[in-house]
Amino acid sequence: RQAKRFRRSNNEPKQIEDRLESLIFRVGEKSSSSLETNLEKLAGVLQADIPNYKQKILDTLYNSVTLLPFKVSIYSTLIGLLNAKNYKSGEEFVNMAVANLEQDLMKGQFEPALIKVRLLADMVNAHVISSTPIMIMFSSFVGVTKEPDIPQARSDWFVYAVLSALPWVGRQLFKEKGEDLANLMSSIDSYIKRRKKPYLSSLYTWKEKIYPPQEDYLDCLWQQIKDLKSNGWKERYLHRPYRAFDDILVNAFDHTFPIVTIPHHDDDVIYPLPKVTFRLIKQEAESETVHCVERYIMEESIRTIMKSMYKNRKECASRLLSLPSRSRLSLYDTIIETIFSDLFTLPKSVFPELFTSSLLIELCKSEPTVVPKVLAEATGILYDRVDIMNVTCVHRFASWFSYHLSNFQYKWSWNDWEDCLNQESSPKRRFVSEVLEKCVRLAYFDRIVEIITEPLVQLLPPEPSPKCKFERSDAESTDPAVNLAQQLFTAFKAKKSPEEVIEVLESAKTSLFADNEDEYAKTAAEVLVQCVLSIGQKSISHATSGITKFKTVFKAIIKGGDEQIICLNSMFSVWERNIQILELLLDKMLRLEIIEPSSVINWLLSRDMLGSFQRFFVWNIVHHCLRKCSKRLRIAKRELQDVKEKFSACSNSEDTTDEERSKLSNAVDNLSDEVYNAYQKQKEVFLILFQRFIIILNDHLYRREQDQSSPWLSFALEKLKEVMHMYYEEVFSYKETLEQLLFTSETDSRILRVFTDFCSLRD
Amino acid sequence: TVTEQESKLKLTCTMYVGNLSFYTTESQLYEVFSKVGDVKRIVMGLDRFKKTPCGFCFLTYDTREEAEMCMRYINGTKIDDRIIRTDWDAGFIEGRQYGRG
Repeated sequence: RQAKRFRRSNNEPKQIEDRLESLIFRVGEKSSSSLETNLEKLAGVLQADIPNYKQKILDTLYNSVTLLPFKVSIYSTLIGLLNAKNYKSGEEFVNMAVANLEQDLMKGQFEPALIKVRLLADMVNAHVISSTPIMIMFSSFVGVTKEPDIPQARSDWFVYAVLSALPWVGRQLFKEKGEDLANLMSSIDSYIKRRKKPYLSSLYTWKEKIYPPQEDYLDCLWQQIKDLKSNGWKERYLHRPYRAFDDILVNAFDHTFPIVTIPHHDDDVIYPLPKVTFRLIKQEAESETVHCVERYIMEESIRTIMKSMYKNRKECASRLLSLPSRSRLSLYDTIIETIFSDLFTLPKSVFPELFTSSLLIELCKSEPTVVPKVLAEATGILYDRVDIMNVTCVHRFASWFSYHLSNFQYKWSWNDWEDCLNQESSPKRRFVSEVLEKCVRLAYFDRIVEIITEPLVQLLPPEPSPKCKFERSDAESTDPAVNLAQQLFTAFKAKKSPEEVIEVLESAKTSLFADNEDEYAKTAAEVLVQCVLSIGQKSISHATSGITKFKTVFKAIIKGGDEQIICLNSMFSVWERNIQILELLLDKMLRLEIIEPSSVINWLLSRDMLGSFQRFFVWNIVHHCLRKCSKRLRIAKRELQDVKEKFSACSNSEDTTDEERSKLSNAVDNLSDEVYNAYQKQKEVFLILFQRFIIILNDHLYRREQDQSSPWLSFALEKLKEVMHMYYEEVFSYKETLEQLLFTSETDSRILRVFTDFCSLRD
Repeated sequence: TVTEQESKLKLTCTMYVGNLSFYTTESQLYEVFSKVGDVKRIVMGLDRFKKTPCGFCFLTYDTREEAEMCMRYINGTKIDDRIIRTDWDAGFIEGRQYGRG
């Protein structure tokens, strides 16, 4: 009836197509009638339109399930109903899904491939596919474990793909292919037993053993699938709408498909990195639920929603909260735990930090009576464990928490954290300082003083204010630096142009420094930086416009690496008490190319700055520089790609003139140079960074031979690990150079170990 | 023209940020907005006569992706307890920072 109604009102095919698309896309969303009724109605509509709109319907179904994979069973039911009446369309759909899976595998797109494997598996339940081809596909996937000389990451993925589909289709395979399934399980079992896991320690969030333990993700999933098996392959969490239509579906013609082509291993393919499990909140009956299959299914449902809804935090939150809660596990606890698990994943968080933050804010707003409580509890546990937490994760924790507080008026039971005050130089104390410092940066000093408890005030950074070395005065001075500063102030006051300022400096070389080139270069650099920052101390805008205005002066005075270090030291001495401004001005200097990232790294990890080594701002700036280099390279590569495409397009076209062609060809050359330069610069920065690391680590080891387990040492080694992790693609690309130059057999074993552990991530 | 304006908005890396507190500083804005990417510059909206902040700013990211993240994850969250709004802007032009006095 519905079909007729809208056909009468819309005659335009385009409108009908749009209507069909929206109906398919929306099925299973909140509605006044039951899901089963809606599915039945929609199947009727599609059935009637198949003759005219077959391709559109099949494409839309396929797109819907790949875009909204958390509705997989709803779509497999719909396809089942369609197949029951029109088996040709079912067949075409299956072929489309298989072809796309093969393509994903060819292209090394493993995340989307998993969705297709699950879809194919679930279609067995809806009698669209018979269990035979699925069993064959699974066996061939597990067969990959027998390929010689492949990275474990490859066989891991194929085994994971099978295991992760079993909660959906296990029961059906058990009923129809019991023997094959048993064989499959025993092959997987022997694979699981022989896997090597040298990477585990570098992925752990907790540095010590805790309960429930952190496990290798595949080991854990294997236990969970064994739990499923021991329950006769029955699980109770998934909603399976096809069950309601069993009497229709059981008579449908089910399809088979030829064996899925698995591409051979290629060294260029990047397989997903291994992971470890993360448990935080104590669930009821913990020992029973750690390895229950429901846990996997719930976490997987949560992740599937986050992965497909990450662009829309509001919708993501509402879908998470409407997940079924029929389980021994609490839905809220599991959501929060899964979100933290992804935030603390090493080497990189699964999602951008602010997606996580904004999602948590959204969840708190949607369920204000429950979520904030669960979140506070989780935060409390995290805090209790900060001492054994990986430093990278501590940093992510502080960054998330301070931002979260900024959205909730900085309300927190601050007195719970006073215990850190008795623990001089402990990670906990450092964590609380970092949180407070970040809160000050997000708000302002007085506000945070007002909100926290009195004892914690001692952890706050000093009240932010600049400290300038020179001040404008009329007093005569014999000190050439003071004298030069006065001349500069006068020039600034008289609104002299950059060229005139350069003249002032040039003439001072003779008049004040008696042409002592070395003395002059050092002093001029320091005085210039001090004076410009002094006149710009009122606000960031003032300071940055001063730096921009005198860019040419800076470039004339700050010529090489030595002057850049002087410049950095001067900037630091002015804004040491307001690191936030220091970071912003540094960024400006980098943008104007007055200083280079390599100098910043040299400076931060120099002996002069060792006192700040454990403060988070040092690492903030380090990462800022590394990110900048990577970004420059990325953008240059993208531009080159664009121009190359334009060039090849116009080479094949008759309409372009020779002039245009040569213009584009020049652009290709220039951008190729730019990519090369950006790559070299980036490589240089990474090499300098690792070299500095090795130098200061060696210094430390040499000085303190007695004290091998110092907290400083473990901090430094973890930071080294963090850098490798955060830029693992880049670092992997220099692996050979690093092996030859820096991480050699002569390197201290503790430092070398960080590198070899890192390399094991891709073995 | 309208279409020109529209196509500019599709490529722009500049945002208009509104509903700010008059007391929110540039540093705070950098702190929050840098969480999704590198902020190239911020121009504070100023009262035409008093030349003091008056609740809005223009903000430019290095890339479109960063600006998109800002729209997704910062728009509608709080700075200084006020829910801020971000919107695409066709690009800052000198003079536009002066609001109504």
